[in-house]
Amino acid sequence: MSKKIIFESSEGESFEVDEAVALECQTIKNMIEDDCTDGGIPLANVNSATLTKVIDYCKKHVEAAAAAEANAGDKDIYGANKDIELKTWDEEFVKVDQPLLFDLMLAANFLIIPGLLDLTCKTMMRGKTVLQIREIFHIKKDYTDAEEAEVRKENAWAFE
Amino acid sequence: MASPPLLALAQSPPRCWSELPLDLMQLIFERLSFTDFERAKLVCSSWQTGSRQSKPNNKIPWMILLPEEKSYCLLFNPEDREEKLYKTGDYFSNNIYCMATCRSWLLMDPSYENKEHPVYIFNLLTRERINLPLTTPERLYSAILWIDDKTKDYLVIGKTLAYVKKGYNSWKQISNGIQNQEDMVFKDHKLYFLTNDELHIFDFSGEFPLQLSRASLGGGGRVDKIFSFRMRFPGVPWYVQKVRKKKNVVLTVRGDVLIVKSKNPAMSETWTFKIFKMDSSSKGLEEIYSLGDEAIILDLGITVLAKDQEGVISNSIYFTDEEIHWYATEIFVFNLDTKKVEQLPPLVSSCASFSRARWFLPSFRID
Repeated sequence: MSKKIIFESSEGESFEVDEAVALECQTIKNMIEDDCTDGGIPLANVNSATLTKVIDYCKKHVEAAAAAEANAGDKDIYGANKDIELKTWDEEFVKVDQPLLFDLMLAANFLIIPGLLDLTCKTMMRGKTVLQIREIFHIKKDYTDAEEAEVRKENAWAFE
Repeated sequence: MASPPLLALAQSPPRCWSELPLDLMQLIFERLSFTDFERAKLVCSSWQTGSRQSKPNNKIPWMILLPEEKSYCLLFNPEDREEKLYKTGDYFSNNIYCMATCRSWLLMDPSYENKEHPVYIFNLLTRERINLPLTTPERLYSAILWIDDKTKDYLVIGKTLAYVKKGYNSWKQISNGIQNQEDMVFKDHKLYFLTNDELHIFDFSGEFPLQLSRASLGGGGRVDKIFSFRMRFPGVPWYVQKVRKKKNVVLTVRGDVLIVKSKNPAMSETWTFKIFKMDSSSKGLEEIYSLGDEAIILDLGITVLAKDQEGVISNSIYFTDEEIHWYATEIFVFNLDTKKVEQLPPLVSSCASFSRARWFLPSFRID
């Protein structure tokens, strides 16, 4: 039976996870190594909805890593690992509304989960036009037209 | 457990995307593709401020296409989800040829159009231009370009080992003329010069280049290259009837030296590849069958780690062949796992038929 770690969300809800899953978060890993996780880890700035998603992400990636290791015999010297299935899963995983994406990004930054931070950062911008970004993320344009034209001039081809 | 909504709201961090903490903004910007990054700058002034602190840090090969009779170039970023070719401004004269790249710098040869025009170095992102001394010893065809982003010190080495550095007013020649150049790669001030059967390494870090080593590729180097007096089939293009071969030297991210032999048999549509690792102890070649998580960018003579780089296919060879140039460039990505050619977006493939093209590795930050 593996060791369990208890997270507590900002709403006070408890989440029990395997230690291996919790270790995906560098911040928690440090706490476990320092032996200060007894009685649960309060995460005052991560709400339940976000924490549920974060745990889903960590679980999936722990499972994928374990499966990859089990297949290690087939691999060449460089250890090729093509996990297309995991990539597809990740893509589905970040199809969330923008407040949750925002919270996931903050949580990934706070808990130090490099993979999740990568995923959320890339997702927020990818392939979107400037107008779309402003609309999706409710950002007001605070440039004058002249200022905007100046920034745009630098590599105009990228805005086509 | 029901959560009191008001309390949750009070505890949640600011939700305003334009007020992202600077450190988080930098983390985001480093992870963006260049084109996403350029757009992010335009969103609002705080993002633009953030963009000055950090630049995209990815290592993804792009393709540059130079369509015939056009003065712009087209750029393809495999990271883009949607198939897209970016058209730059009118930077070039017609019939210009790109001989080499170094990050976002291109070595351009306009002499096909006008012999009086000097070869020059051009930065695709800053549009800075540096002319080389006029008296190019002969047409360079393939060449090496190295340039320092800050000092603008540069080095250009031609196929016959003629070279020029910043401050020189003419080209110099490495004295020992080595024949039968196949390919060359430059890394960490060292030139890896591949002939038909030998690999020479020169050190360019000092004032004058020094030959460091000379290693035989071992048996099988000299294979009959010319298939003359072959029966020609009328109506079939000459380049389809010809056996085409290439030999390239590749330096991997892990520090190995690879020799890649490519062959396109006569009357065949497909290329085959054999990859060998230079074994420094026995001075021979050892064939390898997989690149693992790396991908070879043959135009650059390097590998990149495909892992974590979206859009780059691991265990594959990014290939272009310009032997039939002036007509078309063959561009493809050969996947060693499936032994098949990965399809490039139709937009790119159709464009390649009237363009010269090469893979390059743009860099968006100046370290």
